[in-house]
Amino acid sequence: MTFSLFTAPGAELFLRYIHYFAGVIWIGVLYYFNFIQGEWFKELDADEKIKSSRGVAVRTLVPRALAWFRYGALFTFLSGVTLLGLKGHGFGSAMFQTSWWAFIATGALLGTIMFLNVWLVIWPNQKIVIASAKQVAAGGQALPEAAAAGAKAGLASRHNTLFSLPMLFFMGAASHLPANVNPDYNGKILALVIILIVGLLELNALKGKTDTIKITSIKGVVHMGIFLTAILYVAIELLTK
Amino acid sequence: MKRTFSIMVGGAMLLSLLSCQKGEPQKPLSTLEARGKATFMSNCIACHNPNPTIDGSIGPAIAGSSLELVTARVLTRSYPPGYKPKRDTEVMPDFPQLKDDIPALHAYLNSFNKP
Repeated sequence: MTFSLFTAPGAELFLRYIHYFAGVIWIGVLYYFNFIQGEWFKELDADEKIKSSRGVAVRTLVPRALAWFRYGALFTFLSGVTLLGLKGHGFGSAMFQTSWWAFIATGALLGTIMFLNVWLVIWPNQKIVIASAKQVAAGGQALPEAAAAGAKAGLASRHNTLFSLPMLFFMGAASHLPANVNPDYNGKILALVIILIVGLLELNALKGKTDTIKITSIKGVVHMGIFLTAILYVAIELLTK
Repeated sequence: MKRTFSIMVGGAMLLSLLSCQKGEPQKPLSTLEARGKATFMSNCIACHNPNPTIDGSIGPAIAGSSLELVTARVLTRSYPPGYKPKRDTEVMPDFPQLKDDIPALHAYLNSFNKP
């Protein structure tokens, strides 16, 4: 009697289970921020009578959500990197001739950028926003840099929501959408095109505006996410032939 | 947003309906081949194409594989002597639990018209 969980594929599944669990926590909180909390904050701001609730939420609710958010991101990233390493080990150069690689590499690129946005942009800026709300609650003045920090975090967060749609598509496509790949396709050109598209959007996430690429509204970010998914998918299909 | 999701779900359902009509082998399957198909569908298609006559996301097309090849790949992570692999990798694990299913799997993989 053997338990298949205690074999090499079983270990891989267990790691994937962690990847899903942490990923759901991370992206779930990302969607909470972008689809729920942001809209609620707008309602609070518009009404003088309940405006002060926003400060309470920023001091007590937001830090809690951000803790699940950033550690969800960390464990998703770490389990993902390990999974990729396990799969890549033993694959050899034939890996680059599979549709699995074209898709998973695109998904992993998006996921990695999102992870870096969480830890290097969203979290540091949110810390300033939270510190400012605490100072106000203690009777002091808001930190002068808090408004700009909140905007920076929001911009990166909204771009992560945009990236999440193609990220999920390609993570799923890797194992579940077998595409016809010419073993001699030019991987460098494909990589260049994908990195260029995603890189320009990330540049906008760091320095631009959500208006520029129409992702200010919830509807906008979902539609543009689907549009970005389609563009990347078509690029992969065309450039792997 | 409701409309966006309705279009996505509706589109996906339509696509699945359309895709039901092709991809089956032409003749009806024997009992052994049907058992092999069940084994194939539940163990192999995470990497190989659900249609074994064409390449999958990770594994190549495997329709028409010999009994020696199926046995070597499924049980011992090896190739028969002198066999030149389509994709020379060690990414495929062994499936010791499928020991008794090898003849069925072989029968199913050879139930297709040659690609």
